[in-house]
Amino acid sequence: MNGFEINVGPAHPSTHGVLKFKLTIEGDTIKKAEAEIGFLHRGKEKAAEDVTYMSYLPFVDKIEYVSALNMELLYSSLIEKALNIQISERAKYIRTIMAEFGRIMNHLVFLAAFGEDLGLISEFFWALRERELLMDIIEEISGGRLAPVYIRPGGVFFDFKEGIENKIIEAMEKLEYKIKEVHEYAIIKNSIFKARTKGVGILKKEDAINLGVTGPNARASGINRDYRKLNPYLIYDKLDFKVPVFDEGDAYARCLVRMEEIKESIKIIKEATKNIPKGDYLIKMPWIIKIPPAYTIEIQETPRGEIGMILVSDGSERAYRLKIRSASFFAIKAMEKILEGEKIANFYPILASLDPVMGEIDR
Amino acid sequence: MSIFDIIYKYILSNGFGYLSLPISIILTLIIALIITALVPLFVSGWIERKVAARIQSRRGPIFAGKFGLLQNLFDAIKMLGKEIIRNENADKLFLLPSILYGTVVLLLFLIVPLGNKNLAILNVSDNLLLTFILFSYLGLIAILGGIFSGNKFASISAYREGVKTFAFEGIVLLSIFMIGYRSSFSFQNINSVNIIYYPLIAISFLIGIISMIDRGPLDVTNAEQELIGGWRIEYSGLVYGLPLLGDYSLAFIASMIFSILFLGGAGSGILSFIIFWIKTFIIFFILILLRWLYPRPRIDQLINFSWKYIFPLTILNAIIIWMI
Amino acid sequence: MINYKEIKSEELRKEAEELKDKYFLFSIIVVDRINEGKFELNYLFENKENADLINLKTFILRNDPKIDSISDIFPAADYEEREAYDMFGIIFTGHKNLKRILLPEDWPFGYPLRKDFVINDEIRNWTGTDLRW
Repeated sequence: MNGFEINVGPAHPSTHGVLKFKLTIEGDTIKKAEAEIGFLHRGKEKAAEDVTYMSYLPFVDKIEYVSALNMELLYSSLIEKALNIQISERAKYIRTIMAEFGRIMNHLVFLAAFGEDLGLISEFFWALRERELLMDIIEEISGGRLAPVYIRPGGVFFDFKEGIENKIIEAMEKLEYKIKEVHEYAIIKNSIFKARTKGVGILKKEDAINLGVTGPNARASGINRDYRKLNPYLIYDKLDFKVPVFDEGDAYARCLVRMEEIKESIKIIKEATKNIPKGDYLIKMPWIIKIPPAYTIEIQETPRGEIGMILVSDGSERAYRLKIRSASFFAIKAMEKILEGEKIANFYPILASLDPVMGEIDR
Repeated sequence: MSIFDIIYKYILSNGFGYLSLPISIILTLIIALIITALVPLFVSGWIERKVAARIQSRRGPIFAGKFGLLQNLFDAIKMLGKEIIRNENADKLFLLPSILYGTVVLLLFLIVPLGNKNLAILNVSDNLLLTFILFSYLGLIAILGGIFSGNKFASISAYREGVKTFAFEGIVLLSIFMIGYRSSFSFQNINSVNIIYYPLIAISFLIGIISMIDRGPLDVTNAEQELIGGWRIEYSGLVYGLPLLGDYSLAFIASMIFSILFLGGAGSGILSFIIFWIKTFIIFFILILLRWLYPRPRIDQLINFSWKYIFPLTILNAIIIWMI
Repeated sequence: MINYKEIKSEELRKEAEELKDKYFLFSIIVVDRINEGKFELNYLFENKENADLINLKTFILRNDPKIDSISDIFPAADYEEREAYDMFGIIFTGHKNLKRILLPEDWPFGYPLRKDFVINDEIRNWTGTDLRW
């Protein structure tokens, strides 16, 4: 079979969305891989030129639907930076807690999809069961489970009620117990799992940084880079957390980085919940706002990498150009490079370990 | 003695004369078809779905019938109503492998004793070898199905099935020969609790038979997530339902065979009937746990595992017992 | 810390070669300045060690949008330049594989993010010429 072409088509049984790869295989090895994206293109950047700034908020959290709270935070920080508004301390603490919730939810979905791709279907149910613990709390705080339009320019939309802090800490204790007892045993210490992911899909350090890969994928290849430490926003300079970095760059290292990040996020949430100051939670903003002509850049560390939003405004009530730089876009390009010379049976673990979300790639 | 003998004697003694042979054949076939349909629908399918659901923190089927007993029946009825589509690249005979799969399951139910050594539907000598031949037919059917379908993913699955045959069939054959040489080659005459003498051979037989019936963590050829069903990709309707129900039945048959070979065979009498079914259900439970709690190894890791670790254990056990 | 620098479009490759060791390409932002008849391209580079940004701004003409590609110096530019071609129609000379990335390859209506692109009913009801998976 010389140059046998096969389409790993847009409809997958695993949960990664619509992504198509054209593989040229010979025997059991992949000679060339070419990705095709664009099946979920919804024109979000063009829509930003049509609707006003505050009306764009429901669009923003459907861009990356798995961890929608982080995208809302990014857009609200962009608007506040363009208008030069400072928000209160209480709002900053609440926003940090919600951002870390988003990070944990994203990594739990990563675990679910990863376990299912390797044949352990039960992992899908167990990881989503843990996610329900968090979704209950988010529903009590904000009224929505997955994409609440909760973080708005000026602060947050509802205040924390009495007694919610105890519920958060109780949920975090339960989650920590489950992560250590169930998911680490099922995944990290399982020898079939290790045999399938160690040494598979190696991304070297120079390739990673030249291809623009950031976030947990880069940290698994030895690049010590976390935007929360390089240029701290919200209250990350007051908190004490570690950044896990591994050197091997294979699929197992990418999985380990995310497990450690869940534990660090649990620590951050517990510390932040104990010290929320009193104060105002929202600065009331009018529904139609006008931003003077400027070129504003805002970068934040989302669970997938560094996402940037660049706003070109011209003094009117709509944006002139809004550009969203997504992190998984470059991970798909890196995947084309990783797949040369790999076996075809390793395709799904590599794709699952890079954690792409098609909503953010295609916008 | 077998079920066919009992029916034949009963009808002959009621004075049907020369018609009693065809009548008893037809009645036996009807009983065999009922058992082949009943076991995956109500017994093993229901147990598997409920136990798997409880492992995953959910409840399984609860609405269809009391405790969800009729759920599999309704699924089978729904599957009968779907249209059978044929790919334009497929061979003319492309429905054949699926029908052959159902036939193999029917044949297996005909010869394995159902609890008592007089309760096999047909009493054939050398049952054990015939069972092994039927199990190895499953591999051939998968290869045929992959080639006849005219789909690239099915061809990859056929190629993987050929490689997988190389991994485990030799070990299962070796284990069967050890048991047969020591006790006998037919199910009705195996009486000793062989797991005491052959513990390592029992383990390797269990892993080998899981791999031969395409089940559990060792189903590299029809992996649902990777190859989207392997050789079953192009089937729909009734021809899709037959291998699906066959999967549930084969696990049950494998646990029956394991409990006959290694845990004391099928005896006679009411007490050994009950104990036989208890042993079978325990082994079936272990097979369910292995399926839902382990990820899937790769095909070359499977071959590595079988020839480097399982095969020497089998030889070791055989030599030790032969010395003693 | 952000550094803004405005260069001519012919000097782009020289400036990119100087930045190759310490910076990686973060994004390429194209703005359609239809009133002046130009496309404004912003190449945003980020430092590999810390969070410094460098923004190179160039202008190219709107009637004949061509510029050199930097995808052999920065491999991350491959997909970004294809997206700029797809959305605005800018031709990057020297790019090995310049075809549409987000829209289907046989999209007949032009370049969507330009300011003179109007969404009318014909575009809304278009379903694609052939569906080959």
